[in-house]
Amino acid sequence: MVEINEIESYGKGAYDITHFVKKYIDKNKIENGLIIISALDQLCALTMIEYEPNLINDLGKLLENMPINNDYVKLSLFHRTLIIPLYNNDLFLGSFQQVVLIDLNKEKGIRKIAIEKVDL
Amino acid sequence: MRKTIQKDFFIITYGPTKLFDITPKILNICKNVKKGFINIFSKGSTGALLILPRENQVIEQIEKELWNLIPVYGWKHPGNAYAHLRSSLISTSLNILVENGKLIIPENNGVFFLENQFTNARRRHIMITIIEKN
Repeated sequence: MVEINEIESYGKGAYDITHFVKKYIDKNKIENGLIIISALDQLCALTMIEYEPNLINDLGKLLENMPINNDYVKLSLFHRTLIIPLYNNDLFLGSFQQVVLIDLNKEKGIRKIAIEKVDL
Repeated sequence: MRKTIQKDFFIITYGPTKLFDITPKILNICKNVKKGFINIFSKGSTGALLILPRENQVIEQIEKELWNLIPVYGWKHPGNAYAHLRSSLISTSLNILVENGKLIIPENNGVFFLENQFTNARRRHIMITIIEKN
């Protein structure tokens, strides 16, 4: 069953949502398979990046400096849905690889993500 | 009914901006898949996966052009911000349909791992998850 998670956003920025996904894995006791994560806000996308303040700042600069002004077009270069393997009870991610929600909404508010599993 | 299988492999890379054809390894893993879907995932935040033509000249040209995708300098993150940003944009996760052991991608194309790091003999871990109709 698809689980909907709510993320408290302070507005335009990037938010580490890895813990939401790990909580879902723990709760559902899944060992191996795939985890599917979808951003459910029209001005949000998903990516995987090291969640380090300088790098997140760089990601913001990359988006800011794109030769387009339209936020929908900027977000279209990223994914709305991510598929990540689950291996031995954990996400198959590198030590410096986190799941990050990119939010281009100016206002703060609740953003929703959907998480689903395909287990072995 | 469906069957889900996971198989992994390692490749040794060098870089930056070098593309490695991993199609033979993927085909070997998928050779017995009749009809299904695979997720290919490379662990780590500085690599990337792409579907590209398997032609040396085209690959060499793409390696040159990739330098222009994200500037190497001008970032706050020390050293390899460009590599992280390329990886974040291109992605380390790829989904492909498989039928009778063949990848359903454009003809003469293959799956490539992009090494973005300044590195020599780096070990990269790649996971293939197969979802097959039973």
